[in-house]
Amino acid sequence: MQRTVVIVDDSRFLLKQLVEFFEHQLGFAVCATGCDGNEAVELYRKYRPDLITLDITMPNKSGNEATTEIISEFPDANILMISAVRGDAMLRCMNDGAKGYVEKPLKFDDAEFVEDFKETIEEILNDT
Amino acid sequence: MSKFVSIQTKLTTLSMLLIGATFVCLLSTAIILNIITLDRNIQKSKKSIRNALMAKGKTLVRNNSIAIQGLAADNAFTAIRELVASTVADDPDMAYGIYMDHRRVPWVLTTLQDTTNTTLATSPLDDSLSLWASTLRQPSSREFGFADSNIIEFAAPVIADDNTMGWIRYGISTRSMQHAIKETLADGRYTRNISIIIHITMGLISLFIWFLLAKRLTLRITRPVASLVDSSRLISEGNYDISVIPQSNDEIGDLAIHFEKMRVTIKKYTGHLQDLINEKMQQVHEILNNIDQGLFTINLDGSVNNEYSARANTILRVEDVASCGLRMLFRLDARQEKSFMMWLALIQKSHKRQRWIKLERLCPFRRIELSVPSEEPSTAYISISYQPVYDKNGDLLKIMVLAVDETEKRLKDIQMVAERLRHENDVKTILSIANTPAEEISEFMEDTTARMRALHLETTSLLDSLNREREIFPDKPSMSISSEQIDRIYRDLHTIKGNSGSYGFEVISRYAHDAENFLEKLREPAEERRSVPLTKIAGLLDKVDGQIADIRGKIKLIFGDEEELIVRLPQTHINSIVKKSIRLRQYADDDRIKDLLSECIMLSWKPLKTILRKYEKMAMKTARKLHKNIIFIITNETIRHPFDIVTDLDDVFIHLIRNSVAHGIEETEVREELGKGVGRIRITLDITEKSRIITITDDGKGIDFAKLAENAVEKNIVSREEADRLLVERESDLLYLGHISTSRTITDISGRGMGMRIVRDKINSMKGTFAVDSWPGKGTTFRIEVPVCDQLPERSL
Repeated sequence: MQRTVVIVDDSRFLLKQLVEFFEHQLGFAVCATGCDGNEAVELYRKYRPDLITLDITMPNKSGNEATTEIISEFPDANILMISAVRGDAMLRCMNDGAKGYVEKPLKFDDAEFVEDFKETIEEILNDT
Repeated sequence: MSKFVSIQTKLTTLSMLLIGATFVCLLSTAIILNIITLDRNIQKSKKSIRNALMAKGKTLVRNNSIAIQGLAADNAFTAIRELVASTVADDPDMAYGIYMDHRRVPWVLTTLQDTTNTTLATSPLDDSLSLWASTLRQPSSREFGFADSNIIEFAAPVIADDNTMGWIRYGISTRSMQHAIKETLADGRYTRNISIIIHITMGLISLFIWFLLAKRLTLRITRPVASLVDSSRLISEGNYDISVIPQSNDEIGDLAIHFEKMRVTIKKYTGHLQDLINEKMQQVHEILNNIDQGLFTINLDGSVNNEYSARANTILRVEDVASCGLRMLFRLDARQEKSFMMWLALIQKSHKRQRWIKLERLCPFRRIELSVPSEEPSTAYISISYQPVYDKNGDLLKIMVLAVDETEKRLKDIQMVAERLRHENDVKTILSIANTPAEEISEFMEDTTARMRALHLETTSLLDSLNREREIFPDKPSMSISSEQIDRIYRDLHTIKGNSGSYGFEVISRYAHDAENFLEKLREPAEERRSVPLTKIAGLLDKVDGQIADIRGKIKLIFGDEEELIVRLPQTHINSIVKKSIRLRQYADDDRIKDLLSECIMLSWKPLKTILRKYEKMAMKTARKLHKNIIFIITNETIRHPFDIVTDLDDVFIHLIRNSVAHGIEETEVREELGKGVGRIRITLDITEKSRIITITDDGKGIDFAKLAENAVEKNIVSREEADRLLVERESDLLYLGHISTSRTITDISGRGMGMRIVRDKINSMKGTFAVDSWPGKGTTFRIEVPVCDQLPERSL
């Protein structure tokens, strides 16, 4: 069965890139995309995807808050943080239940980066 | 574990329970038997008493009935009455006595209370007992309750001549019988109770004696066990030094002997083990001390373990890593420590499903900066990496921390960045200059220099007056600087900033900007000394000066000296002017016009440096190939000559310069050993009225003429005598013999030995002279003198 993903990022440009990557390189079905933390929670509730990707810095509700909210409602949710924010904020997200992270910038033409991205997703999905 | 109960207690309790149970059984059996016997005895007594009573009653009525037979027949009232009354009176048990006739009329009715009373009734007795008695043909008895006791009535018919005359009846009370029975019962009970008490007392006494005995007995059994237990406790605490002494000759004694053997073995073994451990620990410490990296381990609760490499102390600038917490090692504040603990929690949770490299990247402390005021530099940059240590089940046990001092590397990086920036700035400056018309750059330089001069004057005078003021009024706040003055400085700075920015001289622009910022401080009320920002501005101005000087140098590099080349004109334009001037000069009579035309002609002239540039390049290239270090010096390089002043000597130059580099200048190592430094090749050009004199000098090893002569003889070019003669008379002729060279190998540069002859022949053909002067170890000079070429420079135009 095709794996499903919801992608949330406040940058339209990155959303496009991520959708492209998930659909064509990873063979995911992209259920929906969102632009802020509120949408992330709603979309997760609606689609229950195999994976949801979150940015940390987003308008209305941060990725960190969205993570806490999703995990409290769906403790088994597979959350992947994709953010340029490093350090404490990322650590907090991971501690709050995100299962993996990828650091921006998204270097889709860098083989090493793509390999790490794929491996991170496998780690998350194999865990469940 | 359940509560400890000693074997002694258990044994005593058990035996006591056993004895107790036996005792209770025995006692109860005895009591039951006693009761049964007592009961049986009582029943027996009851029966015998009753039987006696019954026999007595029956005998009485039978005897009376016989006695009364006659009396009744004779109607002897009184006799009967007396008989009955005396019978009743004689026996205290007798309740009553009655004789009633066949009509049931009582002739006599005597009770115990009234034995004398004789009732003569005429009416028959109708009570149930009388009716029962009246039916009797044989003596009989019947029991009935009366008042508080039972009474047995004995009745018998009085028969005379087969006629029933009446019935004699006696009621005997069972009270005395009951009393007798009660007494017997009480006796039995008393005996029984006494025997129970005796039994219990005896039992208790024997129990107590048994308890004392059991205690002693069990103690004898358990004492060796207890001593064994003590010994085993000591061993379990790791004390193998106390020996076990067998205290009994039974199984426990045997156990103690084996136990002692075991203790000795274990002691030996642990001693050996301890030696091994000590040895291993020694090795570990040695390894750790020799590791040139800061290595230590931390537990998952953040505590630091005892083992660490000696370098860790040095790198982290602490006395003893193990006695410092992480907080002190990494100089963390409370928030940072919390963050680190959060990371530790995360890795425990996630290490099984995520790659370590990713988890490690999340660690908030992978680079730390330690402030070390006592050192130079005062900040140490430490990079920290973490490696997981797993136990044999694959669980995370602890974290190995590797600290590396990167201060030196960081400083080098910083220096490199600065160097790179400097180079970038250089390139940018050069590009800016090259891309800007020379006139514009010149204007910019003039303007900037003038403004800088003004700025220097302004700041110096302000600083001077501030200093003077400080001397006179040390405590007075600084005088204010007029805003006109500040504005003036600001205008100049701002123009410099704008101009230099637009020409791409960003460093100057930045310095000017910084200076502007300090200038703003002068406008604020004088809280701090105004000399501070002013000094800063002065410092920045000096830096700008440095940059300007740098730019000036680069301008010179690109455009030549300012006085030489400021204007750029198309080459064709110049050529045209030169051509026309040359043509006109022949017809000009006026010296002033001639002068003008000469100057026009000179427009095409070039500095000697430019003319000789190709030879310089060639020399440098040759030197690089041969791994030699040279500098190429042109005397009076800025003097201008017709651009083709030495064009006709091109191959001569090539030969001679190559010769100097290849054969004259020694290898770098040789020169270093001789202390001669970098090889120098110097070219001079002197123009006289008639001739051009060129010298090419090197400071190399000089020409070894003896060797040349030897070579020539070996190759049969000259005879030995001829060679000797040349060496004495005209040694330089040896150079032109051809096919000889002091060089051992023929390269593409030099070595065929043909060059010198070509050079001499060429110069001879030009009616010139060629001379070689050589000083062994000091160098060689080639001197060429050729006539001035009249045709120059119009020939080439």
